[in-house]
Amino acid sequence: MSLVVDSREIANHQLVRYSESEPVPLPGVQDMLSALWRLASEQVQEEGDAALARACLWNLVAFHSNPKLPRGNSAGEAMRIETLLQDVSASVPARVIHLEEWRNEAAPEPGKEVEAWVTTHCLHTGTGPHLLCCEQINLAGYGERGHSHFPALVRALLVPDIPVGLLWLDNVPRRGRLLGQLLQMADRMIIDSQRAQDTDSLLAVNDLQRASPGKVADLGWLRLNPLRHLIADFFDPPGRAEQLATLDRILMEISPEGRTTGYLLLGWLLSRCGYHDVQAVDLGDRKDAFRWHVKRADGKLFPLDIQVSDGDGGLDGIFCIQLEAGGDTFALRDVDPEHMSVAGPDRSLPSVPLREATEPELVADALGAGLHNGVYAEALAMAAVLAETEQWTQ
Amino acid sequence: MNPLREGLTQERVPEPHVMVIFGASGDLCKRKLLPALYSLVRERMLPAKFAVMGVARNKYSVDEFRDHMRDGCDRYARRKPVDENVWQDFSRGLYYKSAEFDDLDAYKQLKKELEEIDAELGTPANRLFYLSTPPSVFPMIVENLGKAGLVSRAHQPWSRIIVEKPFGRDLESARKLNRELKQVFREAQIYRIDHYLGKETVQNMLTFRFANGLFEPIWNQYHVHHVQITSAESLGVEGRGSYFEEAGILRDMVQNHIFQLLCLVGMEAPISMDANAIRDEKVKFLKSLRPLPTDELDDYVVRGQYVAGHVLGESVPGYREEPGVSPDSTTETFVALRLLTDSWRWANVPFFVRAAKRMPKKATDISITFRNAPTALFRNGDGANDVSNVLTIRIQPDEGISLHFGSKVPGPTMDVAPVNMEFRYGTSFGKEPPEAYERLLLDAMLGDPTLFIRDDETEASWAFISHIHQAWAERKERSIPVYPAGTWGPPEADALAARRSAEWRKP
Repeated sequence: MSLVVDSREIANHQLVRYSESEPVPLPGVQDMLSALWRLASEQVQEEGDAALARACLWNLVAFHSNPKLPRGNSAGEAMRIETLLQDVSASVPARVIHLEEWRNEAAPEPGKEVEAWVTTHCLHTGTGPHLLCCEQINLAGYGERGHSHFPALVRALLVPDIPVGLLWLDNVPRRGRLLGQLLQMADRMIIDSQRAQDTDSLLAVNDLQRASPGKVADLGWLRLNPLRHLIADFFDPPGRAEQLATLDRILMEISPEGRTTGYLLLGWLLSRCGYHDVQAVDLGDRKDAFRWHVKRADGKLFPLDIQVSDGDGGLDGIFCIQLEAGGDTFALRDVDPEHMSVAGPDRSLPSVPLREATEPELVADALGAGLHNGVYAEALAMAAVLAETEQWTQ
Repeated sequence: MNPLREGLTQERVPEPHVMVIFGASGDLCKRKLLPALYSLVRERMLPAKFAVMGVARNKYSVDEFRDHMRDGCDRYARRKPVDENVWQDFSRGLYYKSAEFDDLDAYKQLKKELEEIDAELGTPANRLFYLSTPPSVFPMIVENLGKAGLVSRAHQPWSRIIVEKPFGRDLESARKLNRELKQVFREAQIYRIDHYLGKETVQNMLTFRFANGLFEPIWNQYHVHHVQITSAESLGVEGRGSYFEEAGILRDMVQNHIFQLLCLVGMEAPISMDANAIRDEKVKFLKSLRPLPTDELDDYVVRGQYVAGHVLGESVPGYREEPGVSPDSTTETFVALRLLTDSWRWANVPFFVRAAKRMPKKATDISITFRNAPTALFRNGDGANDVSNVLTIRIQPDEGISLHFGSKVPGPTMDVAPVNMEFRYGTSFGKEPPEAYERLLLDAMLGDPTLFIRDDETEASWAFISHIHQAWAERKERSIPVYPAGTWGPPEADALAARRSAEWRKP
């Protein structure tokens, strides 16, 4: 066994990684992890460091496929995912089972369609005499059939009696055998609807949510939290909430990347305010503008406009949202990547901090409690209605 | 109801109001209250229409007060550096009034100024008063608030008052203070604050006990050998010698913080998470504490006082050498109690409670020691099975829970060694918990009194503690046991535990 030790910093804490450099025979993964623990523990003791404490609140099964790139050409993406998984397990201790699908890569040896590597990460948290340690198993499946081994391997490697999170690192998944089998094991499925660059994908997210109610945690949705808070703030003062029922206009400006997130935010706004009747308006060949008419309870229609502009809309891709009601205007606009201006009848501020969460923070949130999926489900369903009606006009 | 709030982290935002802090030039305001308010503003948990009026004797201008508070936020805010835009928005709503607390005209003037703020902000006359002053002026402030017409006893606009500890110095003064408060405020408007209840780990006691099916069935006399609560400070009296001479550790720590922890460990399950349901159970537990027999007090209570010693590598003076302390003081800086309750759940289970200054380190924890296995099948070399199962709940620092149990040592023999199973708050959730004052201030603004102390709770705890003070006063002892600073207390405390086959933990 050859132990490789390296380290990096996470939020001012040192993360030390102990890994076996060679692939591990599949039946020996568990034994190799135990051996790795012993070696890491001995090394830590030899260095006079703190004791190792193994922690595990979740099984985190992370899946991504590399349909085109050969394995050696994807170091950047691989590093990004590796760093993401380490950062997540540093804040939510988990056994990570990382599934990599290399459909276009031949198996290294005939019959060896899956290879495994094992790693343990130990974090100096600075809060006590222990190093907090988690473990990661990387499984690489080669060729057309490599991935078919994944479900059985995952079943064998799950830590019992703790929940299973399935982190889908690819584009929004469409139904398939692998997804179905992994989803069956999962207590939570983490996707990122922002990866859905077309309206079809948004509809696929809605299908997935409806097929697994309460299971889906959407990073695109969680990314909207700060913005939802800011919009909600406008309507806290007495009498303001009533204005939500009599909106006169909604205007949103987004970057091309912010389309699905924008739909989701509008879906949330419409569903929470009780607007369900929307009609897309045909704006001809324009690709930079979309319009719907929304029906109020009093029968009056009001316009909902999306303007697509070039530029950096931040992580959520939304530059500006403006609501008008009864002569009052409520507007939020990007000032810079971390600040927005707030303009409303009760409060106007040139700049308020709007820290958008990083991807590891969002995944950690997705594994947390209190997802309030009912609100998400309604927002997503309404976003799907916007997407569908927009498709009909094209 | 704002429909956009549903599903957000904060589903309710306090109604617009003005918070009036008496004693605003003091340390508590600068170190805790304003930084907590700033954090709440930063997290957008406060209403847009919100202002703070500081009231104190110091002759600050409004700008000087804002500068003073900015300094406090720069130094003590949970998230640093202070965000300039947030501060500008927040500080525009900071006002200050210099006033003598006994000057009724100043309160009438304050009323006018608050009405002007209401008019400017468009807020209703909702008020949250905070008494961050010496307790001696609580009654005077409350009486003048009433006389100046600053208090609404109605539900809208609302008035609430947060009262800092100590709530009296004995049963009689606590009752008197409660009567005085209730001449102006209804009990439902009074929020007696104990910042321990704002700590996540303290609140987690309710979750731990009542959200898990595992522990509650063994949380009783049939399975628990004894319970220990320790609140240890490495610091001494830190320039508060004259205050501490009057208080002593029994009043300063046990009557409030430790008794709250005791209630959370010992109380029955409430019928709901409603504030009064929880507080009813706490009061029932306090009332079940068996009064200590005066003639056998030493078998139940040990007090001590630190003498010069070494703490964390520093030589420190004894208590009697501290500024403001009498050279022949008998004020206790250490107290250990053995408490029993007259309840079915806890019959004959001793609760060992200990609080002290100048201990080897700062630590607060609760430990539940379970009864040993009935037979010692696995004998160690000395013929004993010496592994006790201990569940420890660490309140501070390194918040978490650990379970101590015996495990077979690998090898050909059947040796048993103690091991720990650990849960650590800081590493399991990866989220920074809010400061205790943030949670408590927000709850008071929302009108949720669950984490505040009701009048009958303070009176029940004082009834118990005052009895000990009376017994000590009658003895007129000229000296009490001593312990060197940096140790775990006088040997008499060890004997107190040992008489019931227990041993103090070393946190």
